[in-house]
Amino acid sequence: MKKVIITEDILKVYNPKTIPVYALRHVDLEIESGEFTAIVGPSGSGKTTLLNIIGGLDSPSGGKVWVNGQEITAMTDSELINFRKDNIGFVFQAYNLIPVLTAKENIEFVMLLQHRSKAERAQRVKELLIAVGLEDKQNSRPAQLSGGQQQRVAVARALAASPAFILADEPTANLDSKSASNLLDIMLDMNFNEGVTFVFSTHDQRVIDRARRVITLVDGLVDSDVRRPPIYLPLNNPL
Amino acid sequence: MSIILKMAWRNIWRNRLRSSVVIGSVVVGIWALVFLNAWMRGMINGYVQNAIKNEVSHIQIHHSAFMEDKEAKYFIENTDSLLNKLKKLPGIEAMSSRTILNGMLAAARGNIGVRIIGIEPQSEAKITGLDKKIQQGSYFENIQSKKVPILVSEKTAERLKLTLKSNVSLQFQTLDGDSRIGCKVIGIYRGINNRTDLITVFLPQHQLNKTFTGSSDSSISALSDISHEIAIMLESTKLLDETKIKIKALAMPYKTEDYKEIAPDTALMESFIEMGLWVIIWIVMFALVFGIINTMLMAVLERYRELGMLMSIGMGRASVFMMIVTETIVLSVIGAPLGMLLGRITVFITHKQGISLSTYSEAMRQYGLSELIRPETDTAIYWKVSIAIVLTAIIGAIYPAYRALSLRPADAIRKI
Repeated sequence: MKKVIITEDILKVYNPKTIPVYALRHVDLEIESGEFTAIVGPSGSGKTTLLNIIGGLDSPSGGKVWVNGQEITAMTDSELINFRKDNIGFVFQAYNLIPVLTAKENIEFVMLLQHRSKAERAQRVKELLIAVGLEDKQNSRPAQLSGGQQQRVAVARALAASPAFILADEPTANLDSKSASNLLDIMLDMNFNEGVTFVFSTHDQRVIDRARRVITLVDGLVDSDVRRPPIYLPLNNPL
Repeated sequence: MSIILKMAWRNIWRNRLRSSVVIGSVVVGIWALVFLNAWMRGMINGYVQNAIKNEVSHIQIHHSAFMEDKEAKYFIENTDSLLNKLKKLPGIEAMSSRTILNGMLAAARGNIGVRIIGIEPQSEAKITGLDKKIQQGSYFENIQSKKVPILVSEKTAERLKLTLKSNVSLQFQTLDGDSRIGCKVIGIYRGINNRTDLITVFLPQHQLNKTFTGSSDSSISALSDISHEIAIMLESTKLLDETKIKIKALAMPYKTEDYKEIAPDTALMESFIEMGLWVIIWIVMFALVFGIINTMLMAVLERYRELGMLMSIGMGRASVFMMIVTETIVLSVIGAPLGMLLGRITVFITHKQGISLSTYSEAMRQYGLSELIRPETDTAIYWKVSIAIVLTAIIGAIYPAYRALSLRPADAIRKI
């Protein structure tokens, strides 16, 4: 399988000149296309920092990161913004939708940045709204949607640009169990049926239980990296 | 671009009260600009119209050297013949020839230097409405006295303690020496400008000419219909340029000039207006910039996480900058047409009714300004204000946009 993410000796130190805090210590990882990976660990273990570095939102103090074959740690800020737009989908803990746009417009937004044609955008938005089960909410603004619905729009938005993988920072943290389960079903379905690569940071045992690979971080170090068959599959999984 | 515009428009209405305050301040600023401009323009137009109606008329004809030296010897010959030719031109409402001499007005209580103007009463009344400015006495009507009748201004009468029927004498240079004529005050007038009133007296032209050209020299005494000035009032100021060309052709070799050339202070006043307008625009816009910066900075700081998210998902810095600038421009531009409309309505009403400044009439008369101001706008003000408001919005957006661009997406998306 194609390796979509490679990290080599990643080091992240906050306050290096005063009181150094080591968020990540020499992290080496390889994540392949089609994986459904959970990064877990206690608070302060470096999960979010690792995700930010993999997503090009933050730069490491040392080491290199390759995404889709390109070294993002060598890119400038503006190159990174462009790279993120075309290669990485983000799902945030607090949904972070654009509040003044409708669900449909939120999903379409990244495709507008990619200058895709109107017809292509309309087709993709329609498909994604069906996939996340929000066809009837397409004209609702985020404030008119529940937390679970907003997070489903966020997943659809992340997928809209057809990225190499999706980074999700604690996507179920703010959801009730029903909404969280629903969201996980959608993501698993996309992973199984469309081969979308997901990388999560999470505390949520429901997400951890469904992940096919679990990387545990402790004090900025990779404590364990376990690959396993899923113990739960979505209902429509053909396996 | 359309998504940026759409987001800018919707973002503005996320905080209706705050946006309304900024839009309100833009409305008031633009309204003040339009009205102040109209006020100044109305004041200057009143000044120009006063000057045309009471002093310089639309067009004047002189000997080519007269306006430089104002010497009596620079006169127009065969005035009647020239007047007859000019009468045939279309667009001329009235004409008046004047004999103008510098001299001394002597009275029992003192004397002052004056400009003696010999007029043909009926023609002059049509040009400057001098007959309507008589405050005491009469306008060269039913004259019984053997002495030459003279009109003096209220200011002159006050200075020399003159009353109706006071005897005065005028001393001036004729074409071949000095002369003195005895006059009787038959009327006291009030002009529009205290300064020129004080030094201007009027008497019948034929009587002044008789003394002025009276000489034993037959070549001088033969000059029966001379004048120093022919003032021409047109039916409309719009006819000025085309009529001036025709008059110029007929009046050669004499010099034909319009009111802008005769009274360059009118052009100076116009340039003052322009300069004043820009000063006001700068002051208003300067004040607005701070209001806009404050509002947009608050908007940016409140949306810090949202902006971080936009940059995370691939919105470039240029697009974020454009979004904030567009938002600011839209916010400002909403207020501009409202301010212009309000200004236009205010100018329309005040132009129709006029604004009376009778409280300051003495000061206004001192400078030949009208007591009744009729504000007027020109279309250029709307263009200037539009450009100024867009520039203000762009300047106001720079700092908030800079703050937005300097954020780090990783920090911003975690901000509560």
